[in-house]
Amino acid sequence: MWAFLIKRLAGGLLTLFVIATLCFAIIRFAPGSPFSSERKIPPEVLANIERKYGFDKDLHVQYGLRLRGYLSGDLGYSIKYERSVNELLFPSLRYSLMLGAIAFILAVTFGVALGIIAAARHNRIPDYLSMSVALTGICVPNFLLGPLLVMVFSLALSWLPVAGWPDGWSWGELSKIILPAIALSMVHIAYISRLTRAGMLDVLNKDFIRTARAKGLSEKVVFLKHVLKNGITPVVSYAGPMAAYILTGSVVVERIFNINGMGRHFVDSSLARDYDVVMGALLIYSTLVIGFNLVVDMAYSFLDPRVRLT
Amino acid sequence: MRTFTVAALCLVALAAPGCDGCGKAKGPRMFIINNGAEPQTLDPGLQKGVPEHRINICIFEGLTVYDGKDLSIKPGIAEKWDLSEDGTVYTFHLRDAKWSNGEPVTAKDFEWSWKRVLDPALGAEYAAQIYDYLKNAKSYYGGASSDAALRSWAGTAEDKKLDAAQGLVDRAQKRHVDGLKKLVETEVKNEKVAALLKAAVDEAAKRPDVGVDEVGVKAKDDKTLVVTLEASTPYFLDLAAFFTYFPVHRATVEKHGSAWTKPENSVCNGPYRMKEWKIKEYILLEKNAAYWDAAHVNDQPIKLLPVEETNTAFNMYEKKTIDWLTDVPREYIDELMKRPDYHSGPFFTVYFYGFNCKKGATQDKRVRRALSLAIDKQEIVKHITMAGEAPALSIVPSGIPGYVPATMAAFNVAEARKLLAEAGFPEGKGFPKIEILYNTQESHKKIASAIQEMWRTNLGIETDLRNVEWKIYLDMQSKLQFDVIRRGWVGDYTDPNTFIDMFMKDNGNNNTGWGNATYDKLVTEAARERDPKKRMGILRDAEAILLEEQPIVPLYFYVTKNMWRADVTGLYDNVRDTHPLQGARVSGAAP
Repeated sequence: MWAFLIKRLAGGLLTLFVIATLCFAIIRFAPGSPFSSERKIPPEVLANIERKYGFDKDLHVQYGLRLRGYLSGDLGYSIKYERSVNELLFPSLRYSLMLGAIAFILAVTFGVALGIIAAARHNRIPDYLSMSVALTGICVPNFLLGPLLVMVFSLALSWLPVAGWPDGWSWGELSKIILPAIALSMVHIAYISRLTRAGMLDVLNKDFIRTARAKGLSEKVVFLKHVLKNGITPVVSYAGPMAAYILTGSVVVERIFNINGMGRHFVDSSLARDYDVVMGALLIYSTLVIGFNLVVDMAYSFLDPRVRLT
Repeated sequence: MRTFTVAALCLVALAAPGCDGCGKAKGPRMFIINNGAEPQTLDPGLQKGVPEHRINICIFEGLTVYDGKDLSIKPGIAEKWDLSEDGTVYTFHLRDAKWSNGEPVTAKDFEWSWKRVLDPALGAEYAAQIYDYLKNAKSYYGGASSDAALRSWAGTAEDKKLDAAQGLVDRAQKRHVDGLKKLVETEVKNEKVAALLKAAVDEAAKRPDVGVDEVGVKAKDDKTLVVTLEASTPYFLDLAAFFTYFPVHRATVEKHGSAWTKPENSVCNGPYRMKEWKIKEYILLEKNAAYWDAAHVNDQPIKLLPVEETNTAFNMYEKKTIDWLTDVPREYIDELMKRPDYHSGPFFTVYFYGFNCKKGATQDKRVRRALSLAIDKQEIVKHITMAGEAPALSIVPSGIPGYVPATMAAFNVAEARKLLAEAGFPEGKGFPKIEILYNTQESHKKIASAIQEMWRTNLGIETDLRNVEWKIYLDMQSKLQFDVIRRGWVGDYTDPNTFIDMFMKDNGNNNTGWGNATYDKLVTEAARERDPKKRMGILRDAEAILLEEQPIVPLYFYVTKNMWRADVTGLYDNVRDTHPLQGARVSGAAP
């Protein structure tokens, strides 16, 4: 167990290093610079600006400085916003984690529930119903779902706020989180329900289920203890990357609901060639992906005794 | 199950009170504005864009200010001023104004702040906005930049050394000679660089040293600021209201470094002060009691939101959580235009196409003219932009007092065909395929497609459309990697010059490869002309040349697109779309 953890953590660090290096190389060779603008900057001014941010130094020196920064927990400086990347990204990360956690819970709860219903009533009306819901969830992209939700629940019915992030503990404030959470989780609800259904149907035909039934166990116990535990493995492996994905936000949902999340930083910083922010956001995302994959692998060993962590 | 979800949500929602007022903390009614984006930096010396401008004209004040109604120049921190006979020396007399911490705003603050912008270490993008006008400022900036270049030479990347050396050739001064000589020795192996450095030694020897005290701004005493200009500049009072010329509080800046603009540190001298700044969420301003004219400032706090999605902002406006929209969704502009709370007027911005005058078929003036005449601008504003924009026959928008823009010929297919035939392409035969370059955006695409179609039907020539992301577009624009390019330009000050001098041969914003000696001569002459009427005449002659030679073809003038609620007072449409807020307020009940 410990050996496994150490091995994986070392591997994770190596991966992060490779990602940082690749990312540095790619963005630095992309055309354009953080300083290009519609109004051309006179060359003497540009030289001073580059000097201010250390862009006059050799690339390998800049790369070295950047890596040294990471070692001390400093993600760099945002040229666009004239403040440190830590100051810029960590508040966004907090919002994204909160919104993502809610969306994650919604996705897993409703996804698994829909999947169980579909599997338990295989090829009957509840199955068709839940699977149609799932299909809709997969098909309707969130740039459509978001505005639709706003149209219905905010504009037409006036039940929920149009956009924004809670700024207090009143219901009026907290309710701002509902629509974005739904918009963010819908596609995952759909996907998880299909995975759950498929996984469970697969297990239902296995010998040990027949044995369980033959032992005279009630259908409820068979289903929730034996079928679900074994059938849910695909959901668990999906949940890891999904968690990383959902927790780092979505540029679409964040724009529609005007939330200061991580998703927008990915896009905005790349467009602005705000190098340190691009790398910072990517490294945070990568860390989350690596972390959740580790958690998932450990979860396997609890769910399935055949899996050993080595 | 999903029915259940929806039903549950509905129940929860029903239990809640109506949500029209969500997003308001209890307290006084705030004036809520959508600022459209998160401000990049609120340091006036470093500031660039519009969202920052909207905030900084609230918290800072320069020597002069714009009137929100008619954009006339009014006294700001300067109570009055005198101009010397030759138009080059302004003496500003400051009023009794205070910083938000109670200290007096002095002439020394201005002197220090302007010189700060000229300090290469600050890296101010708009430094030229000062050094292009103040006496000796450009030489001082060049000398100081050379100091910095020499200091950091050892750490300079090899591929940057050539540019750095060229910079030294152009700007190094006498005091740099010794340093340069030493560099020549260390760079001996790098032949090209060494050669430039040698040239720099000779050039530097010829240039006198210009120190910071020789820059044309001097605080004679606490209340008197003497500004000496390189040449008479008829729009200098306009510039004095520009953000690069705002004063900043020296002690605060020196103490906090780049963090001085944060609310807890910020010291300002405008009608409002910064109370709270939550990045990418909101900025809250409150009345600055120390402001000299505080009696005429509304005490309503101002909240600025950075909502980028115009649809989202519009929904919030409809739900009364925003009082003033500075932009509106383009999708239903025709509906919005019918509403009484939609406010629109001419805007000091032109949309135009540039031609590459250095390569390809567009080098030929007749081709450029043919392409320009074959564009039906009326069609574009009527069916594509649709917000009441005016088709442009000049590059300078109308509305500048005393200036009547020169005009180009209107849409004329017969003439266009004739010109194209003269250029050797009758009926468009043999015309090489050209490409329209624009940055990725739906509206640019629509306009480019329309023009593509016009050129095809009117002239029989084929065009490709190419869209690239903003930064690549800028890169290609400055390297002249295009045949035809979409562009836009916002006037910096209310004078034709802001649209005209950019097409001088060596101007960094020319971006067409076009150059015309007479044009350059006229623009330079206009800058020296003291008689306003004559000066406008000269600029008009220059504009006429530009429209005759057609390195660019103006397409339309923008309009401002604001929406503010009926209970908002004190906001006025104006061509600069700039709105001082001290007189503005919203009177309706807090939602």
